[in-house]
Amino acid sequence: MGEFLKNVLLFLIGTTSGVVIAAGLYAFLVVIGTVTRLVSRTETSKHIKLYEDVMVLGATCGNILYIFEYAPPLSIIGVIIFGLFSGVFVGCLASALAETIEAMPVFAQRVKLKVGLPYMVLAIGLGKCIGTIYQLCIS
Amino acid sequence: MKEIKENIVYIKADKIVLLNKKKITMQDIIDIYSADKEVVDDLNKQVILNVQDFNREVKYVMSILDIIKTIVKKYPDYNVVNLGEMDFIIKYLPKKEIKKGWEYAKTAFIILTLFFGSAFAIMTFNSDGQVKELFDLIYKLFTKSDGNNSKILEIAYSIGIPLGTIIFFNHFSKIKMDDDPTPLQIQMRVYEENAYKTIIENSNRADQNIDNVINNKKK
Repeated sequence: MGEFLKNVLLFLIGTTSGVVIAAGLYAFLVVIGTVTRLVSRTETSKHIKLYEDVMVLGATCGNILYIFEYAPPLSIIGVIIFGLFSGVFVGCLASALAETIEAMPVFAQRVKLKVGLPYMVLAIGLGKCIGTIYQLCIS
Repeated sequence: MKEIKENIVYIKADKIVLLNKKKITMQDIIDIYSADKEVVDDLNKQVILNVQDFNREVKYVMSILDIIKTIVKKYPDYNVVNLGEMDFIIKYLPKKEIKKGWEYAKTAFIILTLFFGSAFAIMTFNSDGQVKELFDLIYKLFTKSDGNNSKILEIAYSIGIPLGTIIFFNHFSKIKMDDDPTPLQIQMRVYEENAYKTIIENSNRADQNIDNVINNKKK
């Protein structure tokens, strides 16, 4: 009996942690606006429900992969695809974060920047790319 | 005593109107109502805008004042009451072939990004928070045993994650919890509102050259 109760308690702890973690993480992602920008750029907002389903699946699979260290045998192609699309997502996330705290607009206004805003954006993108390569590959 | 009849025309404009027509009439962009039906019919047929370039997508920002000027010019003894937006956007879209392949490609791109991105996000969170070690600790504390052989905590956690996401997003596949719009849909609307406000404000500033006044000290 004690054994069963212990298991029930453990199960409850695990489930509730999962619920709270997931809700918090997704609240953050949605409010930051990563998904919003991706969707409005490509003008596919009628598939929003589909995207939400996909996010649920993605979180579940990623979690199982991490906790149980079980993965389908996808070989090097799977690795490249995973890296590429995670990169797109993280790039959007980092840019959305920077935009939410309004780093660039405030800077541009202080310096009274009139021309060259697109080049600023390009520079930021390139900088992120080079920084990531340096951090992950070289050092 | 002569009866003074109140002639009122009510007009209501939405923030944005998407059109495909080349000659844009009053009826296409705003709603007009008046007790006097003939006035409404006549006003509805007035041409407000002629699109110049038929092949480009163009946005026109209009102030409701232009509409009111047209109405007052034709019917000077009518009162105009504005019940809608002060400035609004008219967007002309040329008829475009919807390339199915391109639509699918875009959707697929986003699906892949969101799938791997969500997986990545939850994994970085788990490794940052050292969830594996934490669950080991909890198991050892609660069961006063040495190892973590039964994976019950992990299984429960893996069930909780999709549950939490579904609760947050209000639905999964066909299962709905509520009829409210989902958080993503709300965010989309908020983003669009901001975008429209910016378009209108930019157009107003372009007219008055506000962005140049500070630097050039021009009147």
